[in-house]
Amino acid sequence: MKKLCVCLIIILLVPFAGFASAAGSDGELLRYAASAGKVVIDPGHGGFDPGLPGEKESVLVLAGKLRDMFREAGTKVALTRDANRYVSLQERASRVNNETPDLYVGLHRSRARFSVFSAIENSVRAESEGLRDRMLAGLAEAFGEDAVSSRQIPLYMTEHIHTPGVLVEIPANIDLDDETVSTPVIRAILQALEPSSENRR
Amino acid sequence: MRVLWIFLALALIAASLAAGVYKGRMRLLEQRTQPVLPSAAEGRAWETVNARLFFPKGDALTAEERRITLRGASDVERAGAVIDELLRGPILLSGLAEPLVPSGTSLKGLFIDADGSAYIDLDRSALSGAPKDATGEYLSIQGFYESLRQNVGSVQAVKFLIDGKEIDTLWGHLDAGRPVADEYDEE
Ligand SMILES: [Zn+2]
Repeated sequence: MKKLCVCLIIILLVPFAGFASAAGSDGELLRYAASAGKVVIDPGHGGFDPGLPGEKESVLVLAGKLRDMFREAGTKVALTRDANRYVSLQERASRVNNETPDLYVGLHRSRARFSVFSAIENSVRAESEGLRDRMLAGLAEAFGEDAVSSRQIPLYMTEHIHTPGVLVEIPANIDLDDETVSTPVIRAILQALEPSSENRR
Repeated sequence: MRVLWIFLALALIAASLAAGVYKGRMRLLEQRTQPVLPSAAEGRAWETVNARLFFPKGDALTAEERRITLRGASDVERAGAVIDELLRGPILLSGLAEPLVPSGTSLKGLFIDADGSAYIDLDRSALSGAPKDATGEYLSIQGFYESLRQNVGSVQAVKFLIDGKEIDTLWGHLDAGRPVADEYDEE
């Protein structure tokens, strides 16, 4: 009888435990989002430049989700575009540099694997590389080592910004409308903002 | 009747040779500066050379040997012949290699400046219908760069123009506003 009672209590408590941990992880994400003072999010392409099929739309939606989380966490946030319109790379870079944020996050889609490219200007290079490595580790943890490429390419944005930051490419076959997939992506991006997140791995 | 056939065949050969020479001339006219040193092949007749052409395959470039015919006069003509071959795309035998730009893209102009930067002017169809991610964009630019650097002695860098105009990027990720060089060296 006593054993039965214990079993019943455990069965009843399991859904609440799940709820508590989900709420806890949301709180954790907000805490990561709060660790930057001011952020510029840069959804790639737009207007007559579609990028890969669905790229200009999906990165705009993801940028909106990230913006909402940063706002909720009390972090100032700006987007380089908030609608489906073309913004040249030159314009994007000068917007980022005029805003003088603490962090830049560019969002793109890729044909095959996750890539994270870091800002290369001397004064922000080390910080950006740390951010990149934590983000790659988080994405590898969530999606597997084979889903992640660490190759670095000289991109316009990572060459021209004077701000610590990264440009993230998310594989086109990942359905960002599916929250079970988009949440680990958002988690890997936000978790990397906290340098101490490295120690927990 | 037989004489007529021979005459027609000779006329056809003469016409195609003339067209080739004219094309080469046109390209020379498009050269805005005068830095290209005449190569040792100046004045020679048509020759067939082995060119090493580079195309994207997966995450890297793959080389394809191809015999190309050129008049071998100057580096700008040689570069033009190499680019014409690149625009034809990889041959089927090279497996999963991909074209650098969509088929149907044409070379509108070409010149090489005193520093060895090749200015490659492509028509707008280079950008239509074949979107690329950052790696794809990098490999396409690197394919042009590596193919010219290995086949044309004086080329040290490449820069792209679209319909004769400067552009800030080709496919939305990389800087096309300056000539690109050693950072595109094959690893
Ligand atoms: Zn993109």
